[in-house]
Amino acid sequence: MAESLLEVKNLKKYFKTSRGMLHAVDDITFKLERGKTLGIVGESGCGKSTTGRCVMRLIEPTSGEILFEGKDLMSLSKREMRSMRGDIQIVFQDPFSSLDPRSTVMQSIAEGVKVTGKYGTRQAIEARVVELMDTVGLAQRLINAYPHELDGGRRQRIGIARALAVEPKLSICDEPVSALDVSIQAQILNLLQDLQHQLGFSYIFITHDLAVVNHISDDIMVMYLGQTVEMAPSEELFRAPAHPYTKALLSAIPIPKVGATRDRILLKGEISSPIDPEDACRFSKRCNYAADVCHASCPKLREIAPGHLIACHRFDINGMIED
Amino acid sequence: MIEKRQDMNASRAPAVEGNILEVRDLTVHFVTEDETVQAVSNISITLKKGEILGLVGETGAGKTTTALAILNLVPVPPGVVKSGSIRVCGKDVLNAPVRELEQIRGSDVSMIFQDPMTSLNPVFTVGDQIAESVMMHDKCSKAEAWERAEEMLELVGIPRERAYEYPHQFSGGMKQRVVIAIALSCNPKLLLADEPTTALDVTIQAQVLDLMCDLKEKFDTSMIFITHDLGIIAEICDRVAVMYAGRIIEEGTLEEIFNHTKHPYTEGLFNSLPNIEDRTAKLRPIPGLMPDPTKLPKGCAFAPRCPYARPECIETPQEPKYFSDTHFALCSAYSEPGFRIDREEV
Amino acid sequence: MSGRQKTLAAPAHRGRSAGGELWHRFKKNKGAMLGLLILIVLIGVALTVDFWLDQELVIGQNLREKLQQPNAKHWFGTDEMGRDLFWRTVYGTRFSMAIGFVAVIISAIIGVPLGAVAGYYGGKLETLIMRFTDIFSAIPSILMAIAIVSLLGRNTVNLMLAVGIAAVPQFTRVTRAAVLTVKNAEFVEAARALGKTDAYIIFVHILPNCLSPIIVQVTLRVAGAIISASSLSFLGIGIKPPTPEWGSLLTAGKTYIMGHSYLCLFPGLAIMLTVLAFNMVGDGLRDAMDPRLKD
Repeated sequence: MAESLLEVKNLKKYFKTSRGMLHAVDDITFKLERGKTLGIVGESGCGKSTTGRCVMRLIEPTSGEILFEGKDLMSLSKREMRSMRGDIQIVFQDPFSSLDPRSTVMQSIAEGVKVTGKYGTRQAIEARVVELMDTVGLAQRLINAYPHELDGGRRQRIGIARALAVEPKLSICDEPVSALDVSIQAQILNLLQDLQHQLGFSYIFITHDLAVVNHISDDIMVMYLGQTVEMAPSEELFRAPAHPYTKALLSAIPIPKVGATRDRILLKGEISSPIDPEDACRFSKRCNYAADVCHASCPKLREIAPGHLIACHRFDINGMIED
Repeated sequence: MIEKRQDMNASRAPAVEGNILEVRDLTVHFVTEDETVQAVSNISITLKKGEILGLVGETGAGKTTTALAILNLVPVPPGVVKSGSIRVCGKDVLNAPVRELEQIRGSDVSMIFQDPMTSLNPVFTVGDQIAESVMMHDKCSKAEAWERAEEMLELVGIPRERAYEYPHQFSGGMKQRVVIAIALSCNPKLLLADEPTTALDVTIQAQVLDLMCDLKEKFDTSMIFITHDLGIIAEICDRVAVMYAGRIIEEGTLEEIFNHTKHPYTEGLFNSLPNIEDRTAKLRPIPGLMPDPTKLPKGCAFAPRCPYARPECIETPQEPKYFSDTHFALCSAYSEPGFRIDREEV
Repeated sequence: MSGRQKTLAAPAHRGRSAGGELWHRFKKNKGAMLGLLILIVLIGVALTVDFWLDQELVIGQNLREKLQQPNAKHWFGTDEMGRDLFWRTVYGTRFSMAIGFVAVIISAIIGVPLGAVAGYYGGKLETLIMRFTDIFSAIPSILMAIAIVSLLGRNTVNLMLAVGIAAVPQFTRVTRAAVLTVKNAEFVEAARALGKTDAYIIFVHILPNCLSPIIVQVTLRVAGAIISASSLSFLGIGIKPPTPEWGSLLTAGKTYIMGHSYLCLFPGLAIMLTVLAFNMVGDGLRDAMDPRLKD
């Protein structure tokens, strides 16, 4: 078994609001092996982006352990953390706001190159920037262009090049393709996969698009209101989803084929408030299988098959427990 | 084949009874002092009662401009309707006087915008907003309008008591339901839905799509559904028009577009999508980028990205090639006998 | 909607640098262009007047020609010492401009970093800085300036300092507001992810993106500073009378205002013209930098 690159244990992030504590991330535990991709899926407000930012302490977690190559990131001081930044990078969703409008392509990417400390002279840095632009498929003539002169796909490539420049071991991709058109989206997804094959680094891929996450991830974690409801290898999750929420989510994907409509599980209601949640299954109010036990306590993650974890009181190996 | 085309043109020429919408040769430009954006070029759309037409395309393809033109809402300046005619239920929209236009908007056509957060006025209750729209088009008392507003809310699955609440008290999906309720409150014959579910989560999107399908069955409303998501198209549309750089480059029934794809761009769109049933399949994106809308070629704007393009594609304008009464593509590759696209495996 | 906005917005940028685009939009504003023209002349005069204007014309007394109405020889007339008011007003440009610019630079140097720190860090530090700013701006700025000048002593440097310090709160506020809109942008987060220090992020990424409102504020504030400085001189606590600063020209003239109103009219017009020019340029810049404001 490959060595774990990242282990996150009991990660919590609570925000103080005027109406109480907002449980953005509530007790998340996962592992990521070197060279693999973990997909985090969920709807807006489920805490997936917060999780991504907490892992690299861009947002300070409330509690938990983040072991990166065995080292606990939580115990590092601000200064030590800064020097760890080179190992973990992030690619953002919005190619329009993730680049400084006043920096040229060269300046944006060079900022990452300088962090490595390997390239001393101006020429060396510039050569490396050109090399990186080549890697992500940006024409060299754009080196002095400003972001506003470029389209979304190209900007996203700059964002990726900037993250690559640091030569990270782990890259957190926060909805890197959701702001892009389909044809451009496919270009970027292919680029991310090719880079992984060539350079062997790991991704945490955060998205709400199930088709995309299925395509790119080895394992998928489904989040609902700050908690993991199901985690499994991608193939298994799509073949045999176990949690009622995952099932509903999967059945809601519109499939681009004539007559492909399956039995859609329509959820009632909408996501409830993450402020001071009760000790109950967070999904119980929308769940078709909810019983008294679901309202009484919050289910723990348990393994129902090798590598397949689920947090549901009502699941049984033979299917959902019917009343 | 040629005969058939002439037939088709002949049948299109007079205002056919029962066509809710007829757009003919619509061209819209955005003119600034420096340059001209050819937003929509030579578009023709016909829509029968109860039909749903899906308008697919990427950012900047001209989908929204087309919809706005149907309501005569293209911002002037910089928008200029260069040519074409638009008839909604037989009424000439582009030349209608303001008063008649107001009557057409709302009672004949209404529109749902992408972002439910900004399409509601935050200082009025949702009941007020629906009632206002009712009162503007049906001469009725305030009480009757309120009664109707509450009925509409129930229809879109919101308890009638919530009519007294303000937009900020609703979640995104709920707001979009309210927007739909307003759009449907005057019983329009044509509904223009501009990416109505793009801002919503998948499970909520499923609810809203379900609702729209129900309502369509109930009222037999015709609909133009603008989206970039081919999955949604497959689910609710009868016919599909694919737009690229301001032109409809392929149009046909759902089955024709999805199972007998003819235009290379449509093929490229399908190949770009991750296949949910086969996660190892490599994506085949369309190379390159959308063309500059100020410098569109005379011929095919897709030619620079097209794997089948020949030099003359970009220079000579394409004639629509009809494959059936309902299915055409703007592609000159078909002038060569035996040309076909291989995506017909389904 | 977004599709349409993008197609509309995109062409505006194509083929021009950000500065070129700004100039292109600024050019269309006739008032701003007029203001700019006036400013170029005034600044040109202020920078070069020492080289070509004979000092004798400015301070040399000629009692035989005292208190003459404007005429062909003395365009603006002469004062009670027989000095030519036209040349004195022209020479005064130098003082007024210098005081205006230096004072504003002083307030920007203090106000901008304070605002940036308040906006970027937030929390208690922000509350402290902003409350202090509130208290500060509750005191009328002219009173504040009078207090500072009386405390430090009466000379040109102290006058600049006084006018500058009194305008600090505006800069703090404007900068803080601008920083707040930029600091949550993803490119700032990206810089943090790269391990950059806070100081680097503030100076390299945040402040350059807040420049537009600050530049607008600078142009508008120069006008304010010129008025403040002139007012102080007029009140007799600014620049001392023999030096032909516009405010002190006014003071000197006010004694004769009944019979010789031109002594107050021309320096007053000079102040008005300069302030107007700065305001027109400032408004023009603001419109050019943020075209949305005009809609």
